[in-house]
Order: sequence, then structure tokens, then C-alpha cells
Amino acid sequence: MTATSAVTSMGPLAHWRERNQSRFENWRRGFYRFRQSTLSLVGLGITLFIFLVAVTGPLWVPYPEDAAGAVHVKERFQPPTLAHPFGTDELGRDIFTLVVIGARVSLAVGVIVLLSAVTIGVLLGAIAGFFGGLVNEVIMRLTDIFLTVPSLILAIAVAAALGPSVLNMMLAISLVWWPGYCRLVQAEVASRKQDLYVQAARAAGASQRRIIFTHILPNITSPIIVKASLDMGFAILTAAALGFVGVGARPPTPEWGLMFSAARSYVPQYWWYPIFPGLALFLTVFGFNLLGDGLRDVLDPRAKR
Amino acid sequence: MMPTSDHPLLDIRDLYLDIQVFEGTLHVLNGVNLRLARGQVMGLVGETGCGKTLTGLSVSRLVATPPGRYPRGEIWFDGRNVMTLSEAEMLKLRGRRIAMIFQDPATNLNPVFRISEQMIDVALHIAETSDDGGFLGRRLSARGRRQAARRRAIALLEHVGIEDAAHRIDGYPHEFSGGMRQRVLIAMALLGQPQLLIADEPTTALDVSVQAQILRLLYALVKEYHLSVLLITHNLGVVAQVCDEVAVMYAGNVVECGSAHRVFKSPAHPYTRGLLRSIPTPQTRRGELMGVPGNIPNLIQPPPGCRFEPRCPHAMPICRTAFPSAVALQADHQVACYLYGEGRP
Amino acid sequence: MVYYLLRRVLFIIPVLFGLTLLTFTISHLVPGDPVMLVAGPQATKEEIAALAAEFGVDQPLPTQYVRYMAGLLRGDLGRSIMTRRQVADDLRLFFPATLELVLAAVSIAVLLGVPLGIFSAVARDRAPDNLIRIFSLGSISTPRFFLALLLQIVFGIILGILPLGGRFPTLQTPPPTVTGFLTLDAALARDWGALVTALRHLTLPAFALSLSMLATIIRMMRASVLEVLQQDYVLTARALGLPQPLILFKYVLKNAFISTLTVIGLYFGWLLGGSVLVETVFDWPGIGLYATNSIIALDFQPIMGVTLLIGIMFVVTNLIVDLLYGLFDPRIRYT
Repeated sequence: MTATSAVTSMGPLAHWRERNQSRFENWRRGFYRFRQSTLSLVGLGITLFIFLVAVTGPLWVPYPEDAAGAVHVKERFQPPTLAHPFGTDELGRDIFTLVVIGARVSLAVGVIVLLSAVTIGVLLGAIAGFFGGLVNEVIMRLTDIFLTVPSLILAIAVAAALGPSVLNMMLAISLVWWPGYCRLVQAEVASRKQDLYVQAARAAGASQRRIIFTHILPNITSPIIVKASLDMGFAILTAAALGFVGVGARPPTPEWGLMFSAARSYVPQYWWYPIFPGLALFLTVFGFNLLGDGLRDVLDPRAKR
Repeated sequence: MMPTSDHPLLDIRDLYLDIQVFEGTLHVLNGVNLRLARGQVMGLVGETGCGKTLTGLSVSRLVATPPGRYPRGEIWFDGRNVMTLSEAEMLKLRGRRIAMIFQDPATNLNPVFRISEQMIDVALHIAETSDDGGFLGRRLSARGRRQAARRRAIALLEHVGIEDAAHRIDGYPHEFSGGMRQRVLIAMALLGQPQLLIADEPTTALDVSVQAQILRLLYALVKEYHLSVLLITHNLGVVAQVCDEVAVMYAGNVVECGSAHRVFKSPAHPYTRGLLRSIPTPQTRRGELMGVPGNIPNLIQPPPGCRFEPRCPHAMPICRTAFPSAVALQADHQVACYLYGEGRP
Repeated sequence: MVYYLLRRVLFIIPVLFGLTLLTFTISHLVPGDPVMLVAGPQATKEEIAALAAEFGVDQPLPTQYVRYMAGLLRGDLGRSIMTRRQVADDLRLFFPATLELVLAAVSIAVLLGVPLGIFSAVARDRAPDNLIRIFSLGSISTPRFFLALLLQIVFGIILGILPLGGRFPTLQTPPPTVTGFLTLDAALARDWGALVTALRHLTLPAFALSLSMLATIIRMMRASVLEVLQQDYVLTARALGLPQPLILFKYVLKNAFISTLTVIGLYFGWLLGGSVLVETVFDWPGIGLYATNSIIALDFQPIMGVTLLIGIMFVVTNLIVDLLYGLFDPRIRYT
């Protein structure tokens, strides 16, 4: 049987599968490894759970008005009971409700920060890596400067300068978060640029923009996804830290870091007040880290197990 | 069994090895039989992936288990079955009685330690595991021991042809050329005055001119120290130059063995004949020799009988039933093939 | 080598220059007015104008920046509007506390993280390894302030064996200041009581600060030990009979530690920033607390001073790490 007859005897789908066989094999292996790892599955479970809670929370929380800033002075500092599974705070608000609604804030911040940081970082990194020369120097030196200051201090400074609000907090974190992606993409693009397939595309007369977007970027999505999934937890932690320091969300926004900061002065007498927002924060970040760790094993061929 | 000099130094009997991988279980060794007498040099030849290296590593019990597993088999070394020895007992054998050198001298020395440091550690370890204190005796202080070990390392380096060894011993591996690094590794292997040296492709990664030097050195050392050597290689030229005996492996079996002279002169197994017909040229790809069309079989579901059967020009129905047992053609020539002995049509 | 150092130090200058520009821009984007904040609501226009003139904030921004840079070259970091003290003096007072805390945290992380990472790699995929992995992922995921509070509750309140916060009791006489590190000063003065007191105060904050770094080091060490164990030279060492502990703790350790060094350098800078949260919870009088207070009061000069100081520390640490590489890896040449 010759090669031509083998091709013609297959349907187009089978033919496509045939051509991409090595890629399928990689996915299959990756998926197998991911399923093999209990920890990754737990991470996926936690993450899905938190997303579910965040999306559906307003429909079923017991005291929706508390999240909007209602005050019940008579019920302040109730320990956990059936009516208030996580107890109540100094204004008599139901902590369970606040924690559930708080998931919306944290997840929104995490997702939006990463989207904007990845967009800025990838664009600047691709431009720097592809054009090189002076453009590269300017962008990368700027990146260096950003990376020189610990991101938390910088984010606190920016957030303070902009004034405390959830929106400004997201802006501040995005502004200090892009350099990591910029450096990653710049390095990848600069090395891919030398690869044969890019040289070939260029020789065939493809425009620069086309080369970047259709030939280079699709090939470096894996490292970006891996970094983003590992960063999600840290972005959420940073947002909470800003809330904690007092330059993030403002009361009565039910943000976990802010709640924790308010609760801190009532310890140890009213221990439940800081514990539940703290635990919620931990669980969310833990879930994302487990998931990110598992994704790295699957997507990053260089990662060693 | 008492260790006597009548017995071969190394006697591998019916050794099986499975390795668990993502795709399933690889049946990499399929009943290997091998005997190596004292002072002899045996070439273990075959294509890449046929189990030569794993056979060598098994002798030193260096195959990790898991993923490896030995369902059956014995490896007798100097009258003891190493398959039954504890790790502590193996530590006394490795380096002191059985030494190994490997293919790529560039990666087999630790890049961030001085040669002296690495050699002295090996020497001190050997002295510690020797009952009589080894070459150091028992008297010396820690510092004295180190100095004695260092002197010994320098002497051996000089012996394997490294000039100005007293000075160069304090260099780092990257300061040596490929051939020099292999000399260092040979000197390290000789520190313990081993009886058996397992040399796994020791010249493959070297330049052709350096290859010859290293082979000459090995040959001289074999004679001088009365070493037994298991020389693992896919280069038949190397075997012809230095080996007394040869064992041909295919897909986890020794298919033919005997004196090198005999096997080269009248190869019996179709695979050996194919190997000898194939003179590697620049067009030859690894794992595919010109004289033997086809590839090594899938070791997860190997052919049920003789593993060479799918590639064999003389394949018969009986070849698919079971692996043929070895037949002695001469006192010093054995072959495992149905073309000979009682399976003969 | 000298040429290498010189080039590296020269390279630091533009980065720091950019840093001043960046922080200056950020801290002057402020919508609020710190002078109003200090002067209070009853202040007259004249009083506010006088204050503004005193601190030079009535000048246009470029002038302010040039003035600031001119001061910086003379070692003058400006004055805090809130406390009216010299920023340089404040930093001299608060920075040793933070540095002591961070150094303690880094030491804990390295001393515990390296052996645990090796252990995890050797016990790969078995129960201890999984436990260590869960622990390290868990610690990375724990907010520092939450961990700090938990430690306070457990060791300070429930067990009552360690102080809840602060650096040294106000009623006790601290040892004479030599290095600014209380533990070191106490040891130098042979005041063992003070040393114990200082250590007891240092323990909880240092642990709270170190945990995420500890976790990262464990993970890095695990990964690099697993990688090094695959190397040919490990096989050779085993084939020549070297016992596993010697191979692991001498030969593998050095190779694996090289890649972990980078993380240690990076973390040093991050912890200087991350100490903000721990200092807040433990009331530790360091630059983190100082920076937070200044930021909330929109007090520019201290913010710029702290950012610059941390930036310098970060750059210098990375330089030191790069030099340490040469110490560990003979293949590296500085040219």
C-alpha cells in the first residue's frame, strides 16, 4: 500500500487527525497526567465551587441586604449559630452572607487584573521582542524598573494615589502586574523570531503584524496560560492585602481583606469574625494554586515532575 | 556456593526485567544469559534499545525499582547472587569490585566539584568499605587519609596518561577535553582496583582519533590489572579490536555468544549475520542497520516467540511459538535460534 | 571581574533614576492634598500657603523633582510632612528592624526549606512528599496577615508562650545600639536576658513572613533535586559506590542549590515589601509600617525614600546573588 492510497482512503477528519497525531498524543498524555494527580482535580473542584458560589450567591444568601450595608446593632457579635452560620460582625451583619458575596469581588478582581495585565504585558513584550533595537531597550528597561520595586509596595502606592475603591485597586494591581508577562513574552518572541517557521513566513511575504499574531503568539500561549493560572491566586491575595492595608475596597463593600482588617481588633473575643473571611481567602487561593500547578505539569513540557 | 576461581566471574542467568512506563509495561530483558570469565574482555553488542545498557546497570543493581521490576533471574558475581544482596552490601561491591564508566564523559563528572574532590570521595569510600581499611590501612587521621587518597588519585591520573596530574587534579571538569575527561573517569573507576569493569559505550561520544587512544588505554589496563571487562557497544569495529568474547543482544535476549574470533568468522544467528554485513555509512540511521531491515519490536507487546522473527529472513512457523533455547555449536560458540539444534527443520 | 562589577553597578544607576521618576510621578498623581491634611480644616489660606512653601509643594512638578534629585545626591531624602522629621533619620531608625525581620525570615526559609525540599524529592510521590507538597502549596496560598493572626492566636493567646507583638518591651532597657539589630546588639552587649526577649519577639513575625518563601524554596529544591538526580554524574557516583547520603547532601545539593539561589535573591526583595502586612499585625516598628502610614497620609517624601531604599536593596541583592553563582558554579566567568 502506498502513501497516497492511504491518504485517499481516509475521510478528511481522519486525515486531519492523522496529521495532528503528535499533538493529540500530547494532549492525551497531559490530560492523563492531570487526571492522575488528585491534587489538581481537587484544585479544579475548589475553583469551580468558588465560581459557582460567586455567580449564584446573590440568589440564595440568607441576608442579601447585609451585603449592601444594612446595620442590625442589636445582633452584633453573635457567635456562629444556625441562623448565622459564620456569626455576625460589629454591625450585626451576617458574616456568611458577606463572605459569599465577597467571593464575587475577589474573583472579579483576579480575572480583570489578569486579563488587563496579560493584555498589556503580551502586547509590549511582543513588540519589544519582535522589533528589537531601541524599542526593545526602552520597553525592557521600563519593565526592569517595575520589577525592581516589590509589587505590593508599588500597588499600595498607586492605589493610595488613586484613592481607595475597587476599580482603582484593580487598576493599581494591573499596573504593577504586567512586567512579568512582558518579560516572558519578550524572551519567547525574541527566540521564536529565529525559528525556521517564522523565517519562512517572512520570506513568503507575510506582514509583521500577521507574523506576530498568527505565527508567534499562538505558539507561546502555553507558558502564558501556565503563568496566569499560577498568578490568579496571587492577584487575589494582593487585592486582599490592599484591602487589609486600607487602600483597596471601601466599606461596606464585602471584600475579604477589608473584612479581615476590621475584624482583627476584635480578636480573640470574637474569633469567628476574622477566621471566616481568612479561610475563604485561603481556600480560593489554594484552589487556584493547585489548579495552576496541575496545569503547569500538563502544559509546560519543560516542567519536571 | 563457595567463591572459587573455576566459576566465571560474572554469570547472568535467565534475567528478566520489566519497566513500567506511561504506555504500559516494557519487557526489556527477556531471559538474558551471559558468562564472563576472569581477565576476559567481552563485547556486548546490539542495536540501540536492545537492553545492553540495562543489562550492565542490572549487574550493579542500578536500575531503579520501581519503575523497574525483576520478575525472574540471577546475577552471580564472584560466587554471590547480587539480586539477593542488600543495598548496604551492594555499596561494598560498587566501585570496589564492580566499576562502571559511561558513554559521555562530558556529563558524567559533576561540573561544580573539582576532580580532586570527586576522586578523593570515591577513594575514601572504597577504603571505608574495605575490611582491612583498603589501601589506607587503619592508622591514619582524617587529614592523613585525605592526603593518602589524594596521592593515590594523582598516581592513577598519571597512570592513565594525564600529564601534570598533581596540578591538574584541582581543576574542574570543564577545563578538560572529552578524551581527558574519559581518562579521569577511567582513573576514578580504577581507584578501587575492581575485578569487573562495565564500560558502557566508552568511546562513542569521542572523536575518532581519541577513541583509538582510549581503547588502547583500556586494553593496556585490562592486561595490567587482570580486569574483566563488559564492553557495551554498538560498534563492531571496537569489539574486533579489543574483545576476547562477544555476546550479541537483540530486544532483551542474548541471541549469540562465543569467542570473538569464532563469532566474527562464522556468525550463526541471522541477526548477527545482518549486523556483520552492515558497515555503518553516513546514511545509516541509528537503530536501523543496513544489513537488517526493520526496527526493534514494540517491547510492550513483543513478538510471542523469537523476538527477531518479524525481521528474520529465515522465519519459520516454530519461531512464533516460544523463544529458542541456546544451542552450543562449538565449545565456545552458542546461538539461540531454531535454525540449529533440535528445532532444525 | 572588576570590569564586570563596574558594569553592573553602572547599570544600576539608570534603573534607580527611572525608579525615582516612577515613584515621583505616582505619588504626585494624588488627588488629595497632604498639606491640607496636615494643616487641618481650621487653617487659614495664609497658613496653608506657608506650609506649602515650607515643603516646596507650591512649585511646579518638574522643579520639585529637580530639587528632590539635587537633595538626593547630597544624601537628603527630604522631610516628612506628617512628622516633620528627616526621612533619612526615620529610615535609619526603622530600616534595621525590617532588615532584622527579613534576614530572620530568609534564614528560617533556607534552613528548613532546603532539607525539606530534598526530602520531598527523595520520597517523591509517596506520603511524605505529598504532605510536604500540600503544606507548601497551602502556605503559599495563606494570606500573610491571616497566618500572622493565626500564629498570634495560637502561640500568643491560647498557649501564651510568645509575645503578641512589638519588638521589645517599652519598660525594659534595650541593649545599646550598635548594629540596629536588637538580637545582635544584645549578644554584643552580652545581655543574654535581652537576647532572649528580642528572639521571643522576633519568632512569630519571622515565621509569618518566612512561610511563603519556605514553601517556594521547598518546591524549587524538590524540582531541581529531581532534575539533578537524573544527571549522568549521579549515576556515575552511584556506580562507583558512593553512599546515597553523601551523593545527596554533597553532590546533588550543591547543583540543586544553584537554581534555588535566584529565588532566594528575588524573595529577599519581595519580603522587604511583604513585611508591610506582617509588621502591621505584629506592630513591628519597621519601614513597612512606616511606609503604610505615610501612604495613607499621602506623605510623599517617606514613600519615595522607602521605595528607593527597597529598590536599592533589591538590585544589590541580585548583584550579590549573581556573584554567589560564581562561587557555586566554576563554569561561570564574569566578563
